[in-house]
Amino acid sequence: MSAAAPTRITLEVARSDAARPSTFDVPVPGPASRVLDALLYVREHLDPSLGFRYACRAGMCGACAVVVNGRETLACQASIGGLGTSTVRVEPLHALPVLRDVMCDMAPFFDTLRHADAALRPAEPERTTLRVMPPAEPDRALIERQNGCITCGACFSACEAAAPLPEHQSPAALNRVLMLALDERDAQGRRRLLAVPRASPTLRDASLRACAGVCPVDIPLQDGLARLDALLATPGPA
Amino acid sequence: MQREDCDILILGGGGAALYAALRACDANPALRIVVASKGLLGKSGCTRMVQGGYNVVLHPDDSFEQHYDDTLRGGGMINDQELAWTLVTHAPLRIVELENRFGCYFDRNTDGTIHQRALAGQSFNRTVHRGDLTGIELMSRLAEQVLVRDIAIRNEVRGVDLLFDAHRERVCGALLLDINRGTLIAMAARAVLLATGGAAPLYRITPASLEKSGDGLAMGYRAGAQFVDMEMMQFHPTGLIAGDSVLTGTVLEEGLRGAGGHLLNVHGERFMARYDPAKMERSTRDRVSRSSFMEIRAGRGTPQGGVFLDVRHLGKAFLLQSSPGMYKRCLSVGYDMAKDPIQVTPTAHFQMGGLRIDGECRTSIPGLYAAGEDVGGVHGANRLGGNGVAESIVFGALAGDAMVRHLPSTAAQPAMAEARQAAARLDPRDGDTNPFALRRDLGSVAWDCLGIVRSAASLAKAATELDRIAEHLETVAVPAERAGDAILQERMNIDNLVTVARMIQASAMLREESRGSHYRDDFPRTSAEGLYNIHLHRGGDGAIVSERRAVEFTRRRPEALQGETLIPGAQPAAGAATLTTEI
Repeated sequence: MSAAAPTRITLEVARSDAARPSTFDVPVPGPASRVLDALLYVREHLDPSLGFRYACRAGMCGACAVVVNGRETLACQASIGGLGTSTVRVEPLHALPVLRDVMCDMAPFFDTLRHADAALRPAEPERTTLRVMPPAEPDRALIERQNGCITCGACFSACEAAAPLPEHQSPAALNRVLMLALDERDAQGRRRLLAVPRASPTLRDASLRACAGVCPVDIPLQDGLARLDALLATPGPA
Repeated sequence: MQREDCDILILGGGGAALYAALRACDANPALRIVVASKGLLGKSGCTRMVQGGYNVVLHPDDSFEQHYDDTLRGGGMINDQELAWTLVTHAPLRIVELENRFGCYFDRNTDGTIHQRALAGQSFNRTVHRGDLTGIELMSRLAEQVLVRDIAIRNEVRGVDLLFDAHRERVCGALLLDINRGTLIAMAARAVLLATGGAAPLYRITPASLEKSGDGLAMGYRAGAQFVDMEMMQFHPTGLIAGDSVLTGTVLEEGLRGAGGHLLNVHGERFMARYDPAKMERSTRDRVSRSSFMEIRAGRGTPQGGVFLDVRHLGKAFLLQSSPGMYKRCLSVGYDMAKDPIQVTPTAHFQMGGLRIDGECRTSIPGLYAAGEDVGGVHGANRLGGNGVAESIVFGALAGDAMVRHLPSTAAQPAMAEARQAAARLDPRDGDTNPFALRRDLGSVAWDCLGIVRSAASLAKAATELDRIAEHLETVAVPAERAGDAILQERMNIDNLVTVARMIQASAMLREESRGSHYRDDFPRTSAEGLYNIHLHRGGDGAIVSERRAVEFTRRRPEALQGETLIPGAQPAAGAATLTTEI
């Protein structure tokens, strides 16, 4: 923890209605205080119209992803003391329609997952036994390294802010396609790679690299995208 | 008010809701299925927050009978014996489906067979898990399966009330509120499932996902459905204290106590010696929570009103290896587990009581189904770790199947006059009460009077206080512009939570003994006469009608199951070595 945590901060919030106040003086009661605590303080004591989203407040649901001091993060995980600034600026995720203040319509992001058909198409849906799947087997080990996405949209926001992604693409969706392509249980397996636009510079594009480091659950997206690149370079994935 | 139609309306967004949607869709893809979730797809509810895992009999040396007996013993023998048997016997079917059809991957042994561990109160290592973040794997896979199917997701849409047909015999839809747009929707449906979760956030300190407010329970109550075991609320002993942060209350998993962690009062005493000298910190959740509460009440709590969880002696290497998620969470709020005792508090965790259902998730009202934490009876007086998510999945599936099987052939025709009447509760009105302050007030009343230790006096006080809060609630404004209004949302939350609190109060008053998670310090003993369930419903005059009904021992007599079990230690108990299994 930071010993020099401020006792008050100026919270600046990007408001969708410019007529509403955007700067608030907010107490920081202790070293555990999060950006989410500051947002809740505003709602409960200063301006109940402030729009933001949260649910689990334990870093597990990804509902509270916002941009804090210019960087995508989860409001429930971002400790105010850790930011080291006496002014904290909160903005909505980039490239998503703003519903209200720092709360976005996540539909375009979820659409990238739907468009990528990012769900197991089971090879053996009626199988009645559990498979033997050794965790050290290379494909499985890679899948597991890439697993744990909480679909918060932080990577999508960071990429789009750097440069527009091709339509219907997000690092999260590409990462899931990679996992499914390598999953022995998937009926399509490596055929899924055919649907990833090969001619597109997408995967090598600097915009995608912008998602490096913003994932709040530390999925190595760069490694995943590089692996996807390599697989796409291999002829005849089917 | 808009009028819309569907075949199956599912209220809720957690494991039970999504599982029901998937099963119903796969049984008949032509059905129009609507999932109305108070939060975003896959991000709402408590399945997402599951750490421990899913209890399931897979190993040949384990058995349904052992899992069943553990569940009844944990439940103080007042479980619904048929529902508990269903839980145990269906759990393996669903774990296979979760992996083979929906794409979950649970932790493996090095040889590739599934890994199982033990949580509290189990006689065998039968918990399937994915590290200490099992819920993320479950909900991510279920949500993406829903996403690629023809299932209508209505994000951030909450139920207001259930709708009936003109004869008021059958539920045939629900009045919904689109939170962001402020629009009201009378959604007609041929079957309605309540799967919105329990009301643990009623209490001042809770680990539950904070958008939950017992909405399904309150809607079911207002509709006149039957409830059971509403006095039973589980408190987890080790909720993190993180000052005034919303992180306070989030659970530190019980494996830390199992591995040899100590609980200390402010004087540094291992106070469990006073309450359970044989089992100490490895005693059951209810007993450890109560002991901590007693210490705090006796003035031996920490400066922040908790007790200390001390795991320093376990060593940094062990802690990092066994509980990396917990280590990180503690560090982020200022505790280094290897160096600092952590302040913890009991935290309102899981509601065992809920709607009464039959073996196909049908409530007492035709057309109305319930699954997951909305349901009572499966866990009796206390739930075992690992049985909660198993319940959500098993009964979510049963509900999805049953709604399709029993779907009436005729279209639903909700009585619109009634819908308009329900909508009138959201008509604009003036007021100046801060609902967030009122919510904190309610949380303290529940904590102090309906919490870990109860008495006739505290329960009487609760009744008075709940009336006061309900009266105050009338002075919270309802804005003309409902879209995105946080005050309206909190007003509705408090209304529903007060409804649930009154059910808890009435049931707790009627149970004049202590059993499982229900403890009365005016009746501190478990009574031989206490083998009953408390049933309740809303009477014709609006007051709660409650009664005791003897448990039906259809499969096990109570005398057959004596004794208690410990939470597992660092060294597995005899017969519970790390197992490999394939079924």
